[in-house]
Amino acid sequence: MAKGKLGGANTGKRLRLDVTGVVQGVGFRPYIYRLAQKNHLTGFVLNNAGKVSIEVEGRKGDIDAFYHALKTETAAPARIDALKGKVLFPSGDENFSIKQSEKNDKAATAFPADLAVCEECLAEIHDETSRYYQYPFTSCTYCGPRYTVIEKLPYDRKTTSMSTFVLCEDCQQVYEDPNNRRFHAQTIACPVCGPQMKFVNENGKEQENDWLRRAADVLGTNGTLAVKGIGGFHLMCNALSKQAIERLRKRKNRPSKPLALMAGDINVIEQYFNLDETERKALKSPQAPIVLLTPKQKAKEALPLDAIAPGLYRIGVMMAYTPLHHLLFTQGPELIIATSGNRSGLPIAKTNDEALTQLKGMVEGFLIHDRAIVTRIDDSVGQSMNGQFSLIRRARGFVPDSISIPTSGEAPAVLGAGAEMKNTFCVLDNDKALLSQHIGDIDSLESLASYQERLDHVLSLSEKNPEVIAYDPHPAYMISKELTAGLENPLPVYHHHAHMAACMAEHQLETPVIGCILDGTGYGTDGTMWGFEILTGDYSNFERNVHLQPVSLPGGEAAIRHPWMMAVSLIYEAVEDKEMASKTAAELFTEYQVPLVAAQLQGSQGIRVSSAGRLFDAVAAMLGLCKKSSYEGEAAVLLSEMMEKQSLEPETSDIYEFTIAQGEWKIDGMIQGILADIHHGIAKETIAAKFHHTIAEMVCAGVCIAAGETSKLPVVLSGGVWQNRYLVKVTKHLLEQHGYSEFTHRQVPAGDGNIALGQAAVAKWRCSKNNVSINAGKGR
Amino acid sequence: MKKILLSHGDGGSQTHQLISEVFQAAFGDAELEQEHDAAVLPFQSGDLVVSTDSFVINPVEFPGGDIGKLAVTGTINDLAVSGARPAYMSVGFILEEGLEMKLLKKIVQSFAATAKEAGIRIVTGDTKVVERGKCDQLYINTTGIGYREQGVQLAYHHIQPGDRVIINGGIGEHAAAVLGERMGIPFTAPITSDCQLLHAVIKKITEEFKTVRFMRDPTRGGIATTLKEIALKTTLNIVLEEERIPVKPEVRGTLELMGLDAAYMANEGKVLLIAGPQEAEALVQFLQDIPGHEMAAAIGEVTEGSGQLLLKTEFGGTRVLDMLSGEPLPRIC
Ligand SMILES: [Fe+3]
Ligand SMILES: [Mg+2]
Ligand SMILES: [Zn+2]
Ligand SMILES: [Zn+2]
Repeated sequence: MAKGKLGGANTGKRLRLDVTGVVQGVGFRPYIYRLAQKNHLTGFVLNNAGKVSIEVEGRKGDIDAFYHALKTETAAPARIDALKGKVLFPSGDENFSIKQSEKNDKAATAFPADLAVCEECLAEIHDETSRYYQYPFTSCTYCGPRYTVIEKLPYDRKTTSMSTFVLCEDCQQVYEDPNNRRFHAQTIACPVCGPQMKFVNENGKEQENDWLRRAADVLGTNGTLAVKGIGGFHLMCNALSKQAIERLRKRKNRPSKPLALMAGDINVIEQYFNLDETERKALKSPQAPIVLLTPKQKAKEALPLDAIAPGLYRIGVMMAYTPLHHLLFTQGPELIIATSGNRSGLPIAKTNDEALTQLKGMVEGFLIHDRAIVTRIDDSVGQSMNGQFSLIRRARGFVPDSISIPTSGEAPAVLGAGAEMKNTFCVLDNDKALLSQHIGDIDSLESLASYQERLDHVLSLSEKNPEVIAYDPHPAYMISKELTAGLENPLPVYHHHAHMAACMAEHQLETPVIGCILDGTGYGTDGTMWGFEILTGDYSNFERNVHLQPVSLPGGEAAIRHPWMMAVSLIYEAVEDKEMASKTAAELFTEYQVPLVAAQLQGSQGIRVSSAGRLFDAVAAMLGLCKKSSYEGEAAVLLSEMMEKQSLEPETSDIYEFTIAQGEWKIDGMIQGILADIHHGIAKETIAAKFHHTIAEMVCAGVCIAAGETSKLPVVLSGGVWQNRYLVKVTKHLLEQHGYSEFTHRQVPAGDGNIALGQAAVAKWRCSKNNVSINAGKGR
Repeated sequence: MKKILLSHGDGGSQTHQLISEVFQAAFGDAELEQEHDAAVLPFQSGDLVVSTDSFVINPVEFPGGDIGKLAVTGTINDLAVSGARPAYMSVGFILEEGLEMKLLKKIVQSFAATAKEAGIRIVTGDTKVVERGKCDQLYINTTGIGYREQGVQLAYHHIQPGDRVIINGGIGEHAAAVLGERMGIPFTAPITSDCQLLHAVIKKITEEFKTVRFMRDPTRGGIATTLKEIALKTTLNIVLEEERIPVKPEVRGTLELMGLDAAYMANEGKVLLIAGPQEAEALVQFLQDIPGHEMAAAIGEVTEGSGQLLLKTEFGGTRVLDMLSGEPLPRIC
């Protein structure tokens, strides 16, 4: 630091500010630099142990203006969570500088998430006179890849996959120019020095020149295009062509799982879909997630909605988030299907070689380039819920932003291994939880390897070495076996406790709560499968107060793939006269082998479940919405989409009969009621509404029982069923009527994507020194 | 008499009557008719190969066979996959008091017919009757004796990386047929057990193909259990390709709804062959040309490894197959 003359022009006041939040890799230091310049201040800014430290010196009025601007004008992607100020003696700096990061601070340095292309960069790629014209790797301090290109810390060009591209003179100049928005931007590049795009044809042959026109040709002729993006490859085709979509579905062996749309212009989205403020904001955010939107008339007329998302009402839509995507729209259709580029069961393709082999035969062309993807990441998905954007799949744009959670005293760093399906993992040190990107289902050695690859990436970036591993004790989970092999004291956290703890953690709740956990099937403390539970407890312990009456799961996982089998199971349970049950089931499912299921229900003990997901499956099957499921959760999603379509207000429905005895919801009356309504030709929509209202009433009644007479503990709603917006709306309404305050997931998914966070939080509390009640949190 | 009585097992006149009227009448072997305490048999050249098995199955009759046929094929096939030519068989019957005489006769005749087809002699036997409820209709034990010519080399240690795994037809048929019968399920497409003799086919194979390193009949536990055992014994890996494993569609459909994996289901007329890659294709072709073996296929490969059984799924993912333990809990949430 240059020592200035005492009593120099700038001396007056000196203020030190320590800033935490999203402040690294987002152009924050250059922004501070410019702000200091503007206010005639001297001093410095530097990255310091996960924070940014600023010292400014100058006149009081200027410092005040600087401070005010910092607090009120800091714009996304930067975000200030905390500002700590301290008045210092003036030291007489003559200028303002960006100081080199201190060498030893890398461990604590947060690493930034990927950012969608900014307005300025976008303008440049469309400007014929710009040197970035049509350059697909244009980026600046405010935008571009981050997490997916960082190999290690500190974040610097030489530690990213951009390191092989040496800046040309022009780029070097802007990099060094404090007044340029590419000042100190690590990912910048231009056509002279940066990565190059290539079109490879279906036979794997590289084509010279004209990659954009060739790609547009593929899209224009109903072909499928593999496109290397930020975190992996997409498969893309023309969203306005039914033929193109059906072709893609066939090739990907994906008969009915919904596909996402991409648009290059928010106005296009607005023409086709309804947008509320939350949705618009999410679409335009630097995270650029897929947002579930309801269609307008134009979408119903012009888009093959039933090919895009068969049976669903809402469609997942995202904005183009890289210059490359935007360029595709200059010559292609105004809406493009963008689905992850993988064969089902395999992780999303990452390298050019992986794509060229894995996706061969599925596409007419590949758009590849020579910038390596360091870690795979899928597109994030979310929806607007009660005016808040709420994530269903947390990945690109959100990871690795950490989630602050409450802790109790000092404890070692922990790793939450996550659930087997929709897996994420979580590294938790101090009060910062780093929840990984959505990894998906761990059902093959390849997905296990991909888990390991991403875990290694995160651990090496965060330089954490978790001492405690928390895992789901489900005896068949590959991931639990893999991570606990050879460990002396891995820490089991039961699935539904993890769900509850995840919601507590997200909302920074420390006191005991009532957890309403409605999900598919998770392993319970009694060795049976749970999934419709009212729990009470905290991070350390829990108790199971109310649960759904257990029913048989004929054929195990077969009943999950075949919702009609689950329906048969419930019919047999609810209808006393078994001959009558047979007859009813056979009438509803004429095309299926009901006797084969009936025989299993009469015979063995089999697996028994108390699961909300399975109940939704069964009702969807009874209503004929989904008898056989082709993707996870299909039946329940179809049922909830039926409510989306109706857009009812929450006070408008009757309910079916249920009772609670000895901590069990009995629903024979409900099933009989549904069967009677079907028999009497009542509209499916009406039955679906009654069913939703019944579930909400059941939850509310269960909460009241768990709470007893005195306490009104906070209520947390967790588990995949709570992605159902209508159910949340009705339940929230009821709980509030009863005087409860309820918490739903926003930053993390309600489904199994939050298990790792919950596991980590539980482990942390059980291990912390100040926490006396360390014992295995078994339910009764 | 219509039913088996306890007195049929007391060694008295009724026992003799049962033996001569039911068993000897069906088996008709000179050695058996001597009624010695032990059979004295001429010895041929080569190594003596002996195998024993007990048959306990409910129901005793099922589509495609019965316990009598099964008791012969099971033991003969065990001899055959060991490279032996079956020659003699002993048989022990344990009968439940009250067993229908008609059913017994039917099963014994089925047993005899299968033995005849196999070209073996039933040379010694035994019958016991137990009180009602002490067994389930009837149990049968058989011991087979065969000869193996010198030079036949079938052993785990001959298996090498690069070898192919071949099966002579669709899997899971026996299990599906038996389960269907037990549960009284009316199948739209009838499923019959694959219960059949394999020694003739195996004889031809060993004569024609010189790189067959090893054979096993994947009965209880199915192909997964059998191949996992081979992988463990050899400390090599076996990699199966899911889409190549033959399963009749009706069998696949039925097992799926019962939550059962065909790879773990019992077969009673199947042989797994481990053969050199150079002969694999011809061996499959050879099998496919034999009636009843049309679905034969090469289903996998032996690779360097550590005793793992791996399954490449239709979508290109790889799953680890282990020995089955208990009822699989669902992992889907
Ligand atoms: Fe769950
Ligand atoms: Mg045997
Ligand atoms: Zn930019
Ligand atoms: Zn350049």
